Amino acid sequence: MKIVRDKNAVSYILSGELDNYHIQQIKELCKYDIDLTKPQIVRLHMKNVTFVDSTGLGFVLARYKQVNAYGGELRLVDVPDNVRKIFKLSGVFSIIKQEQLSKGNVL
Amino acid sequence: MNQLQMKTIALVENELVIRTALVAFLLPLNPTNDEIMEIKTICAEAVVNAIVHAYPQEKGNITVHITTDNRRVEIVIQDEGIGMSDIENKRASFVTTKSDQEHSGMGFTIMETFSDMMKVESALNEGTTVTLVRYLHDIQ
Repeated sequence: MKIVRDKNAVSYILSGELDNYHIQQIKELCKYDIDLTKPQIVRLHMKNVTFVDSTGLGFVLARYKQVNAYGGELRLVDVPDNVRKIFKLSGVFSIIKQEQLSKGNVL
Repeated sequence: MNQLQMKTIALVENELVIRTALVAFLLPLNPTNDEIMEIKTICAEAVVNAIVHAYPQEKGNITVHITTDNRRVEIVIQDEGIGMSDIENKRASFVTTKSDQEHSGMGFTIMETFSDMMKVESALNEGTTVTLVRYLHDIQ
């Protein structure tokens, strides 16, 4: 996971398979980093993510709650089509804003 | 008809091994990308359930049995762990017994949605067996 900081915003660049094992590797760092810096906008970049299971979903929902709790905003960026289904299924998009950076327009 | 059976210890890193083998096993059937994604997701959910919930103390075994018959794919995930007494409740969306660990409680919902048939057999201290069936698209 790469971290890119901007004024009042942070981007976590995720990649590969967001499965149980992978989430365990990045969860604490991400959680701690958000708690420490409390950025106004937190972006989870999904472009290079190839797989999401319910653990990955839980991670995204937990970050949403965490960021929401201090009044920040979580955004999902460049969600690939093949993992979109699983997010749709859980209703994530009704509470979390999406951004399409690679095509330059917000969904 | 073809079969693959895997038996491994319920360790989190073994889920990727099972998922990868499943994908390799199904490739000769020419599944679509969506089918591959959905089948590996349902298998991952059942295996992760066994890893996370079945063995609170000493890790036991997980057995995964895959059978393909024409376009029908059956995956049976079996553990010998603590089992469940209230399957119906645990199948509901957003129900998790481990909310402190940020689990979404969507495992069974995902399995039900992406499979054509799901069967869960379990009893307290008698392990759990999840059977998932998924049909691949017809080849003309």
